[in-house]
Amino acid sequence: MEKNRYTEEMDNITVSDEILANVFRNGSTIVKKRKKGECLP
Amino acid sequence: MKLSTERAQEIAEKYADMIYRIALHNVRSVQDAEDILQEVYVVLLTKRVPEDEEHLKNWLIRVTLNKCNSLHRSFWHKNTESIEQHGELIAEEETSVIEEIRLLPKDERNIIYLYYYESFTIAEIAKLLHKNQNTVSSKLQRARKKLKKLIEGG
Repeated sequence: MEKNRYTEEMDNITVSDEILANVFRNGSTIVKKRKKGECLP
Repeated sequence: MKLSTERAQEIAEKYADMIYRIALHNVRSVQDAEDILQEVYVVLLTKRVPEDEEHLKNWLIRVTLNKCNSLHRSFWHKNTESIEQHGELIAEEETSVIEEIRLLPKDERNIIYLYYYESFTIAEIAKLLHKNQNTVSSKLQRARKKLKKLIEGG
């Protein structure tokens, strides 16, 4: 198990601003579950 | 204490990457991980939230893991398939450590994440996951051995 390789890979996984904006936009209301592969509004 | 929208957003922004990464370890698609992030944000807005930072982080990890568990149990989740499960539709890529970790049982995945990425100690992980320290330690060792095999075998 290479700690550095794992943490490097994990560092590359970040939430985009667009996703975060959608989370905030929709978070105060009950959001309908998306189907697989369906894009965020 | 219930949070203002501004404070909830501030916390969500600070911990979004952590929540997203934990979710990705526990669900089978990016879309599910995004949904988990959103659900954790709703919990932030609607439930009483610990005030001090250390408890807040641990609480967020627990909420995220609980949401992932709920998703696994849901009818919708049991009766749908992710496009990502159909390997033939996706271009071959070099297998990463993360992909290997996703093959581990849930407990081992989370222990590996918390230990290696969030730098929690075995004692802290045991407390967080409501498990015995010896159990966490042996699961960590088992996970390391499995990963070694998977990585060398791959």
